[in-house]
Amino acid sequence: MNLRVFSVLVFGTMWGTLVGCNADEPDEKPEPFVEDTDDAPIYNTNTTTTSFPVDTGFGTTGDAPPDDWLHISQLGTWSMSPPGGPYDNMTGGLTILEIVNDGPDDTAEPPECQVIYTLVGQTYEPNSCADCDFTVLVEFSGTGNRDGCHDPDMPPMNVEPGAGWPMGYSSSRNLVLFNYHNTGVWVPWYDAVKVGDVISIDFSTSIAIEVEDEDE
Amino acid sequence: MMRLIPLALLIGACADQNPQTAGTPERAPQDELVLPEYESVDFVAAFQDALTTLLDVNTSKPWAGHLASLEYREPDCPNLYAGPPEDVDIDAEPGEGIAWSDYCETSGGLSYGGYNFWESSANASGQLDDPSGRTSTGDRRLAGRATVGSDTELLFEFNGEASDSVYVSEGEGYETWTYTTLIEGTVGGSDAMADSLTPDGWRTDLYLFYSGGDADRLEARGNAYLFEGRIGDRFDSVVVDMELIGDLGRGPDDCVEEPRGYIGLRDSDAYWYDLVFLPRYEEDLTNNGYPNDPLSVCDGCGTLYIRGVKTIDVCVDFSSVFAGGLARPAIEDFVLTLHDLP
Repeated sequence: MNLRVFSVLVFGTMWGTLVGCNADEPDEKPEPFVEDTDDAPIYNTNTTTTSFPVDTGFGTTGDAPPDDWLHISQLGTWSMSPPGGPYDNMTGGLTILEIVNDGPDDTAEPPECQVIYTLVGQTYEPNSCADCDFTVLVEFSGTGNRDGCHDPDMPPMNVEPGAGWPMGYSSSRNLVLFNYHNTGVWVPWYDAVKVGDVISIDFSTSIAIEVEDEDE
Repeated sequence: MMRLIPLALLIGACADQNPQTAGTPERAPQDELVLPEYESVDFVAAFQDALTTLLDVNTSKPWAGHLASLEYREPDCPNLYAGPPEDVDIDAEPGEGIAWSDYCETSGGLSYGGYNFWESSANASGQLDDPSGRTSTGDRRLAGRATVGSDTELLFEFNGEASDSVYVSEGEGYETWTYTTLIEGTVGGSDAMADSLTPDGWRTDLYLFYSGGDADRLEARGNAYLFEGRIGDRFDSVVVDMELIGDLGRGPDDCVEEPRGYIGLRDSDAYWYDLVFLPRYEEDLTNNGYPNDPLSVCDGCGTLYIRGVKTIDVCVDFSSVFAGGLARPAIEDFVLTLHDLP
């Protein structure tokens, strides 16, 4: 064996050692590939007919009007007594109705949001509402369906006696204000018109809403 | 023969990679690491500014920008929606919360682009003069990818999520409150950053918790990158993981002179300057590479590590944090209802 042959043998032996020089050989070698269990369809440009959706994401220019609108209506009355005041008590009603576009296609189908409240209340002091003529602790008792309502500040269906909403009437602003969940922050809540001892209250607005396509 | 020489070198390299035979990897000696010039830096002022800046990184900033953007709106620009926009990954039920979503321009030339979703609530119960006192809570949340501005001015930019909450318990002779805020995103624009220490905005993932009244405590964790307005004309980012106890919240073993944890500053060359105080977590005692003895003294001083190299001690006055530095958020700032939009 000459030097050339010897060096080739040594080189081969050492190279084999070098290639496998990792001392931490695992006891069990992992499978090289995990079995593909995905049943996703294969896209074939020749056979698959598909269309890519229009990119309506950020950066889109254009002012597309909403397709669908949610109409919120909250109408009611406060009847104050004794007649002519100063008032001690209030009785009344409030109807909350929310409909999308023109309402359900089937007119026999009730709206997903329709609640009729009976209201009772007593005036209270001190009146912490700077703009209010008087303040009333309003207790709500509602019937109907509120599952589909979107106003996050809907009155409760029922409240414990004495735990009503503190509200006040302002003749100077033609508003009923709400001491927002007892925080001391008086928030305009309803437009209000007082005729005699009856106050008509109204909050109506329309905002857009995205309705799931029934085909999807 | 010449073939054997590189072969031997390769074998030697392989032997070093063998975990059974390799020695502990050695770090580069500290004195060989090139440190940036730091002797001229007023680190006391820089770290105090950093702490003040961090307290300014809270949800009230994007909320202010959001409120202003609602004030400028016109009918149909931007359109308001019940619930989050479609095809946007926001954790909310359909119909929950309100959003604006549009690409439109007002008659005054103000552009709205993108969307911004929000929710808020506020509640209170009890009376101050009752024996059980009065409790108030407020929560609000934003999730958006929105820009509002004109050709010449960016009024509001928000990309991400922000939320905060306040809890107040008060009565005759006592008051305790807590405030928590978390922002993961980018906030900018002159309306959001009005009266801000960082008028050009920031990108952050900062969590803050602080309390006041009868028990003061500050906890901060996260990062903030300042778009402009360098701290000390040098540092553009802050990283923090710390808890600071005030005099009113201290327990028998608490240190009020300095926080547990660290504050780090990054200069515009991306070098980090970490001011390390008392160890915060159990693993800080065992897992970090910093020698612990000098760090365990409650003296108001931290050890400054630049690029991981121990340099000097820096003593920061933290008393200002609880002496007017932390303001109790007003509960009315959490009231935003569909009945009374700006």
